[in-house]
Amino acid sequence: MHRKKILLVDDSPTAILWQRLILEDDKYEILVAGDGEEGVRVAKAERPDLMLLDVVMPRMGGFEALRALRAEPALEGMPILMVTTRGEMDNVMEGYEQGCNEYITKPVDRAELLTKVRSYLHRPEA
Amino acid sequence: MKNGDGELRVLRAELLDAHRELVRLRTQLEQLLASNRDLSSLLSSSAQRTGELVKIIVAFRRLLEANDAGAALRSIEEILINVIGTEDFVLMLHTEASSAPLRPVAGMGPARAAASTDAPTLAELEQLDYRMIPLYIAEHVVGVIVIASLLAHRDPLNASDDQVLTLLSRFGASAIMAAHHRRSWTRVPVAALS
Repeated sequence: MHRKKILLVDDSPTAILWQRLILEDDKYEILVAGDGEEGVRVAKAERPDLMLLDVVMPRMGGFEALRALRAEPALEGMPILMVTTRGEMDNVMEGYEQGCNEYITKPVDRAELLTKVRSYLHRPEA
Repeated sequence: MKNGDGELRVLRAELLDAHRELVRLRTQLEQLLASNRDLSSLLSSSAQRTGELVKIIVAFRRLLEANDAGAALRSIEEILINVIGTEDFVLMLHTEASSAPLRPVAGMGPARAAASTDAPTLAELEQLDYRMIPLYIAEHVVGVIVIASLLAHRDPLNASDDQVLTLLSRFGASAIMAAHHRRSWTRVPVAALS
C-alpha cells in the first residue's frame, strides 16, 4: 500500500524530532528540510502528500516558502500546515492569506496534529 | 372457545419470552455501552500519556545527542521554545562560587536581555515571580533556568511540562558538561576496546 509522504520543514532539530515521533505512529513516510529554501526544493522533487512548515527560519522563512509553493502548478492542492510559535492574530491571518490550510501553534499538541493531518490525508478522493 | 384460550396462552407465553429476551438484550446493551465508555476513556488517557512520553523522549534524546557544550545549550533552548512554549527565558550558570553572580549562557527575549545587562545572584532571582528551574549536578545547584513568560497563546504549565522541566533540572547541566567532555574525547578504534 502507498505510504503517504509528509515533508517537515523546520530549522529546529527538536521540533523535527517531535513531529517525526508523533507522525511515524501513523506509518507516514517522513521527509525533512531545514529551511524554507530546502523545503521548496524537496517539495518540488518529492511531491509530498502534505507539508508542515515553520514560519521563522533562516535563508527563507515560512511565509516566503508558502508563496513559492502556492505558485508551483505541480504542487497545486497540496495541504500545507503552518506549525509555529507565532500565534499572534496578524501572523495567523497572513498564513491563511498566503494559502496555508491550517495554522498550528507550538508547543504542538499530539492529538491536534494527528487529527489535522489525518483529516487531510484520509479524505476520500474528490 | 377452547382453541381461543389455548392460542391466547401460547401468545401470552411467547410475549413473556419476548419480554425476557428484550430485558436480556437491554442489559447486554447497557453493559456494552458501559464497556465502550471505559474503552474510550482508556484510549483517551493512553493517548494523553503517549503525548507526555513523546515530550520526555524528545527532551532526553536532544540532551543526549549534543556533542559539544554549545550544541547542548542550543538543545535546551529548543526544548524550552518548542516543547515548553517560551521565548522569554534565560539559562544562567555559576562560573565561580555559588554566591557570585550567575552568568547568562543561553536564552532569548527580554529575560535574556535583562540578565545580560544586570546579572543577578541566585538569592536575588528567588525574590522574583518567575518560574525558576535549578540546574543540578548531583546535589549541587550549578545554575538556573528562568522562564519569565510563556507564549501568549499557550495554557499555563501543566504536569507534563513539569516532567520536562524536572528532566532539564536534573540532567540539563550534566548534559552540557558531558557534551563538553565528549568533544575532547580521543577517538579509539573499536578493536582497541576488546
